[in-house]
Amino acid sequence: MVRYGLVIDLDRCIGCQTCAIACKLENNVSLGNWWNRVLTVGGSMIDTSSGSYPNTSIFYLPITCQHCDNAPCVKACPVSGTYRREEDGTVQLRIERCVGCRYCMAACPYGVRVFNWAEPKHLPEHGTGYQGVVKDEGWIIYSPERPKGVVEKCTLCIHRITDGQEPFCVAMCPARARFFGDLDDPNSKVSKLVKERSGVRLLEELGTQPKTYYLPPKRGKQSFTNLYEAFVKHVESTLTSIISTSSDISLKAIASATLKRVLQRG
Amino acid sequence: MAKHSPLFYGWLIFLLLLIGGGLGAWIIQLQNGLIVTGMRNVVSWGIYITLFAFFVGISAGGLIVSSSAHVFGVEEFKPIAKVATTLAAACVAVAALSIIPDLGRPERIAYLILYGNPLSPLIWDFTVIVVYLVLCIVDLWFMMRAELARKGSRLTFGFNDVSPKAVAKDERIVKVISFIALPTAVMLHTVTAWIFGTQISRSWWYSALIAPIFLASAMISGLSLVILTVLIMQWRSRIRVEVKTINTLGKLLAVIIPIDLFLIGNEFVIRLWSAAPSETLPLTLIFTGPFLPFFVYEWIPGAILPFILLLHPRLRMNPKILGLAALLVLTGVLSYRVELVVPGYIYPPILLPPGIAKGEYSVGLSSFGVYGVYFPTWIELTIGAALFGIIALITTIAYWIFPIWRTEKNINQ
Ligand code: SF4
Ligand code: SF4
Ligand code: SF4
Repeated sequence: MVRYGLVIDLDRCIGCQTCAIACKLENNVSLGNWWNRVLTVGGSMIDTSSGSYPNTSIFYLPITCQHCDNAPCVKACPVSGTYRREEDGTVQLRIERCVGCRYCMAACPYGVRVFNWAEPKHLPEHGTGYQGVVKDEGWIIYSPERPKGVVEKCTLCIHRITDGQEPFCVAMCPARARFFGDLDDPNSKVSKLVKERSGVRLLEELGTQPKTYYLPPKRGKQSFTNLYEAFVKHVESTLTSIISTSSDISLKAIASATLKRVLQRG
Repeated sequence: MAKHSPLFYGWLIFLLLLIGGGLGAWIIQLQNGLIVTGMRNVVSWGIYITLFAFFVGISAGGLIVSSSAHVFGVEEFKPIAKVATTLAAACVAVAALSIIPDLGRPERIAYLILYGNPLSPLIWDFTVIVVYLVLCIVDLWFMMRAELARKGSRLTFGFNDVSPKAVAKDERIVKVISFIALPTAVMLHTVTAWIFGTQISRSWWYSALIAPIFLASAMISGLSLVILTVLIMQWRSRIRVEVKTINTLGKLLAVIIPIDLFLIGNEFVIRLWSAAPSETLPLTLIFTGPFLPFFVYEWIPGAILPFILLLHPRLRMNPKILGLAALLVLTGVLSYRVELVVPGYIYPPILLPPGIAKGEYSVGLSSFGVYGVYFPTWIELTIGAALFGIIALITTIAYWIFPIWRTEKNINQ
């Protein structure tokens, strides 16, 4: 069986919110709603640390639907609008079946479900991201248009993973902190990471069996250097690909100037 | 049909205005979406679900009283069985109705039948509500059939036999229904409690005690509404209910109030002792936070005071004092419902900045609020008031056109 899941390396996550924005763009998430958010584990406000100098601590916790195997939202939904897909283990929502009772929002311990309280608004108005529709047994489970009165949440980028691509938040993470793969395959990268780094799951004690694993932060200079390198490498490869493939001359010029600056700093 | 006082017609007009207002508010809500309510992504249930639980409670309580007349042979309750059953039917119908404004897509309500998920407590509740409502109506019909037949009403559907034999048969059927209705009423409120009690993600709700608390509070709120209605009808008509009946109702109320408090108090002790934030955070909302007034009201004027008032038979038998006690208990139970639903949401299990997207920026602090906030808007309050209005209207109309009040005994008097 395939059980797709995410692994998030908290040592690598720099709290840049790129995955949160990427998700919003790719899935045309309406203004005010977020499927994916990066929480701060530290002080009482975003981007602040706990403790006082020099004994401070901060790391980030990106959170989105955990695609629980024993999902309370699935059990709660009176019309099976939310359900677990047997073929890949993801938890999906039939947009046109949801009656908007929000019982699933009460049931989800991770607070990742959002409701369309009003007719969704987008910026730019015509929307962004994937414009296609994904159906499962005749029911729409992804559409860029989700009307008012229904719940929505992360689909694990169902339109991308069924197409052999990684979820968009995984692909866009500049720190390469997010990994996607089959947790049932012991040789997959995600299974190995979970094993090697003793991955943990959120609120495991509730028995929801989430399929999002977090690699606990080790903290230290070593990992920070790694992180910086990874970041620079990612920027480098992105810029190089723009320089070599883009036909836009001004874009090429900006990219090579930026690349030069990045390389000088590294 | 007897002539009625101007007060009666004034009351009818008032109720119709109340309901009309609610309808208007609902139309506004349908056009704009639930954004016009105070609910958001953190506190995603509010007044509608609170009232739902409240109405289901009153209904179950009412029927437990009227069916126990037959099941336990409480003779005193027989004369008020019709009133109690009418109230039970009205309240459960309105409870079901109060779910509709809560739905984001009310036009899909038939999906509850088409695609019902057998694991969802909401579906269990829906099923019990339907069975229960049908039982109430059938029960009422058998209680009133002979009476309707004597008046030549068409509502007998042709069963116009009023011979002693037929009436005795009706009574036997009512008795049988009571034996089914009593456990159904208990299940009705138990299953409603499970909607909350099964939710492992909300520590405030996740408790096996919720169902017993719901039952106790259902009994006292149901009894109170029956008492109030009986007193009002007595005040507005010449027919009198026996003192014994009133006395027993008051006594029963006095017995169950402490049971209710005992159960709720148990919850507090267990949670406080654990001192785990997930258990005590909701309690801080109730002991020191914005829900303190509800808590104080529920316990003192809503329970302890009426309990004391009902202790002495002399006070208990004074209609004004009994009515006051019943009103206090009813509003006290409503306070309990408020304390149950919303505080379950305020502190979500994962409580880190910037928190769960509320759909709104919280100015000054982080980009999004970490805690939930909820305050009902006038739309919600208007719809809520209309729901009360519908219960009152159904009862008034039933009083007006059906013989829900008269009993064999009363008529012979
Ligand atoms: S994280 Fe929440 S929404 Fe996602 S599967 Fe689990 S319970 Fe459902
Ligand atoms: S809001 Fe929709 S998806 Fe959620 S429980 Fe209700 S019907 Fe199911
Ligand atoms: S997997 Fe896709 S839908 Fe889910 S958080 Fe990532 S980008 Fe958003």
